[in-house]
Amino acid sequence: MIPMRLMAQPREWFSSAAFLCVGLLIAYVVIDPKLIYHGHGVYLQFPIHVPGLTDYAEVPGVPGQAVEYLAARLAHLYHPSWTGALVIGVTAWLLAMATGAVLTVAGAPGIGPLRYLPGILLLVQYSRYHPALANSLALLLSLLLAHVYARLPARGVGVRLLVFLGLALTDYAAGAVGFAVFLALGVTSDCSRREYRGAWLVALGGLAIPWMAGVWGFGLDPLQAYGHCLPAPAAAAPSARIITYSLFLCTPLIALASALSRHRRRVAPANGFLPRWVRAVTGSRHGSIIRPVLGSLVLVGVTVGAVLAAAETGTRALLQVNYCARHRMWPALLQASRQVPPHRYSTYVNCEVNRALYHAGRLASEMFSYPQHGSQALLLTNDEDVPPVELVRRSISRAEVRYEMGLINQSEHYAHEALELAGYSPVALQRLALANLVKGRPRVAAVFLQALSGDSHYRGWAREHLRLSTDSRRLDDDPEIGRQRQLTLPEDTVDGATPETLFRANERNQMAFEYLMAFSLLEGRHAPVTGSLGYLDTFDYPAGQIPRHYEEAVLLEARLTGTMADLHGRAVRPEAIRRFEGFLARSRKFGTNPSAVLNSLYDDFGNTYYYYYLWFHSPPEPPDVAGADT
Amino acid sequence: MSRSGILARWILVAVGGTTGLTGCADAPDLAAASGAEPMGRQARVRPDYFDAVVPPNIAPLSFVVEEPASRYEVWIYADRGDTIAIGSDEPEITIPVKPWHQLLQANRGARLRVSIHTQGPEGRWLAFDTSTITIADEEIDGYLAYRLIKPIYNWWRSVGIYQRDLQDYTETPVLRGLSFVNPSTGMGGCVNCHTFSNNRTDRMTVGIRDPLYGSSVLLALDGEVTKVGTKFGYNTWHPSGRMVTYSVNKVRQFFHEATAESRDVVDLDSGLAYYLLESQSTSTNAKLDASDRMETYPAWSPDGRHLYFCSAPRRWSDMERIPTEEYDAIQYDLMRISYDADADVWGERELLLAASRTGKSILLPRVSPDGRFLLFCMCDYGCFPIHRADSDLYMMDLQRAERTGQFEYRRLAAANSDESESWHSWSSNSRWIAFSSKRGGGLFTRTYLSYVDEGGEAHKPLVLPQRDPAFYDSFLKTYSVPELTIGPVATRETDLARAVRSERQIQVGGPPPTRVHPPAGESSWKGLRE
Repeated sequence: MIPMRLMAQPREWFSSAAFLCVGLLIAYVVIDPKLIYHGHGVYLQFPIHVPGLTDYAEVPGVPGQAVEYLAARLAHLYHPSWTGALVIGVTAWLLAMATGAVLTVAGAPGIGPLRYLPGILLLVQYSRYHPALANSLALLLSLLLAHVYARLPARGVGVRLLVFLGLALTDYAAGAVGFAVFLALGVTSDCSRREYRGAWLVALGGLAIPWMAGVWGFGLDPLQAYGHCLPAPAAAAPSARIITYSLFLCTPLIALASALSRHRRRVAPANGFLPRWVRAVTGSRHGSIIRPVLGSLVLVGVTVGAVLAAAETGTRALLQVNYCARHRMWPALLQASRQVPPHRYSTYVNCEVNRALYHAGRLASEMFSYPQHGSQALLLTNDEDVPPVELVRRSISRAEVRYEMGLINQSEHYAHEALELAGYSPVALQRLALANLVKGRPRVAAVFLQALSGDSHYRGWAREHLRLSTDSRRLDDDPEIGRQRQLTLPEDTVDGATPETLFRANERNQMAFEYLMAFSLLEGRHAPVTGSLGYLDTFDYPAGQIPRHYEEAVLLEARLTGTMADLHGRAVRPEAIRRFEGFLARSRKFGTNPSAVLNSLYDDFGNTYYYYYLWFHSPPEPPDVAGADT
Repeated sequence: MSRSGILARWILVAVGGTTGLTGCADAPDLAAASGAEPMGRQARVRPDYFDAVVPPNIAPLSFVVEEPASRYEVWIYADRGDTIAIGSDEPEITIPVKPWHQLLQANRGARLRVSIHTQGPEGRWLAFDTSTITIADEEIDGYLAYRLIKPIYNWWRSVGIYQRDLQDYTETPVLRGLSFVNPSTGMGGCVNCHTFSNNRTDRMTVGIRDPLYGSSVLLALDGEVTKVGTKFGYNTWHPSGRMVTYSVNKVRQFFHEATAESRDVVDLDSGLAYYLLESQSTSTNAKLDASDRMETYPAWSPDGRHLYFCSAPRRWSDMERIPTEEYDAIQYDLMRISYDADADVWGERELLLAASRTGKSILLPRVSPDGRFLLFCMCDYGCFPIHRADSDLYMMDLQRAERTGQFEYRRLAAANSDESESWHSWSSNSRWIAFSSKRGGGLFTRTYLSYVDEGGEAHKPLVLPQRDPAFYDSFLKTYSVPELTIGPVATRETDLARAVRSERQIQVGGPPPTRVHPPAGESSWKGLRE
């Protein structure tokens, strides 16, 4: 086995084992693969990964499909982070081992820690949440095939060429994106043997493979056939391109440098072509045990340092928000949302934050403690030009918030969108099953549940609900289904139901009520809020009290109109009045300069409705709240 | 053991003994089953093939026995041929292909019997009443082309047209949308409206909708693929193969908030046009595209003398408002217009069946290849029967209508269900229809095959059989627009996909077909009907 050969020297076990351990640790702790799994990225990248659930035949045959299929299967292991960490960590380690093996045989011995570069780049890629498994596996395949070719005994140019073409065809058909690496290493290997005629033939033969296999075999256009040989960046971000290309280029570049070095010196150096300083770090082959240990520590340090320096904490926070939303971890979601950088705090995050606030019973009192993108973020009613993976997250979010509120048909709509866009989405399947159980279509629900039962991670849930779907009495008695059925609209409309439609149909629908109130506040209209305080008695708000933001709306309205709303036996807290008076006093100092007022008041009043109101109406013409003399 | 049980056992053993049991790997233990207690009813199975009329060339109708048991024994036999005996510890009964076909071929026009015995965990055997399946004498066309698509709303990623060999379970792609992926989104294009000329596949159209590659039509003629740079809506080949008549529709989708099927569709405007292959030009006229009416769903009679279509008055002037106020009042009439193919001269429009008479919207007329029957569907309103649970299939005897001048129709009671039936097509011998039905829940469209006898009556249909009898339990896609064809599509998928990606296309001459002709490249969900 290649890695075994490479690690013939016991001292190499240190660095190898250290890299494996640090890779696993980074994958588990820093990357946390379950965030990728639940972030839906894997489905878009690999829509087919649950045996028997979807048909691979929906994807036409293209070069590299076998590796993509394998990656799809392996990505399924991201679900629990520890198995996902195994996939990522071991892949990184195998990349390192294969790189070492192929470079050693191809004429670049003694490359020392440089062999770990592809593995480190893979970990860096993952720490930025750019799905890289298919690319990595394709590269791994290319390295292994290049190694096979490099170890081929010299039996004449013809035989070697024939073997090379066979290997090249395999690499192109199965992996494709690593094909250029394979070709480069093959040529380098021949050059290092001074088989220059062979190198030319190999290069020409290799270049013909995409044409023969891609155009004739897969029916691609020539441009496409050769395009498949290039790695597709794991994401659109420039960093993803840089890391992806570095990952694929580093091995052939090292090999090429080695070949050139040998060609120039006409003699292979005893300890490879590497500069002295690199050899100093790695230690000589005959050094003591301390140097390998130190070398391993340096390797670990470099790996950890590179990953931590490159890690995309903003994306991680975003994925954590997504994960918490899917698992209804509301306090954790609110905490994670604080880590989302402002430029990533999208309407999607805002929607999930508001949802978490509602479920935590804090929407009416803490909504303005979190950034708000306006009323469109409540139900994600805006259509933004976002990439498909973001569309999936948004569709799931739309489906869930609507389901919870009682907009079942809309929930079903968006769950279908998510399923189509993602290719496969267990969360969407769950939502569709529940929506159809609520709608009294158990046979439709059963199809989604049967499909979901093919997924080992969701089998238990699916089977439990399958039993529910086949027992109409149990279904009707189920508390969750019963609760949801009470929230649904009794009469059809085609004009687009809203929280207001729901609340008018059922005045006990608390979520519809709070979202309707939130909508009014976010639209800068407090009259519907102050006029709805009587409904507070319907729900379980603390007796005698008014939720803070409604209280702030009451005070603002009283200030602007001079009329105190009917509080229905509830009272505005004295500290709320004092705070509002403080707000008024402070804002008077800044006259009518809106930005000055907003900036100066943010720290003390940024989490209040009246501050939001001021912001909402300015510019162009901020209302003269402070000057209103009533 | 009861008398009926003994009799059943005797018959089974006699059949097995005289004809020899088919060599199944897991043959039933007749002796063990001989003491079975009669249940006095048929076994519940899914899919429900019992009492259906089936084609003699259909793939094995494997099924799942929905009776709890630890052991299942099934005998399938007829007057002639070898009995197929299957024993299984699982309720899935998979019928072997070769013996099945031998049995069907030997018993054309006769009945197939299916006996099911089950053994409970306590060892007691139960015998269910023997069920029957009628084998028609007439074969169904060998292939079925359809589109597989998830129940979608606005977005799509993977849409594909596939074909099935009806004699076995082989499914091959005709054209998958993922053959022309948009690299910036990873989403596949939309393929739709696959139509064939006279049930043959040597002349075929496939519609393409794609944000990147635009809206166009692929014309596959004897394996040669060309792209026509316009959008055909619902289209139909003239039997001569020299013309494709198509509709241009301004279809829009809207949603219901409290109905089982939330999706609905309105055609804000539509008209008919035709494409002449020889001159590579499109054309239309006021007879095909009346200014105050909407025309859609064209279908040629097999003699090519009449074009059948649906037409409704346009009740609105605002062409953008969705949904229009009167969306649920629009109903389509059934009309036809004569045509002289040699002179390219159109006759006068003729109202055959008014919606005011039926009280329903008449859609999707399809004339049987022998010209005798007109099959169509009707629903309460609108133009999109697949989203209407009240859509049912109806038959009109054209021969009688020509004779009497009365265009009478009748509902095909045996073929319909409580859910939507639509998108029907004829077998080339006019004895079989394939259609879409949402029975079994109301969401997932499946293809059903129904025998139509000489009187035009459709018999109990059978769902398109699958190798895995539990296939439909978890299949998340719908089968849409099933079209029966005599042979497989010979054009390679790679050639079709290459034509889509190619910039070469026929720029159609002639005037713009209608006032609602879509701008080039327009792409919305509208082509993604189920």
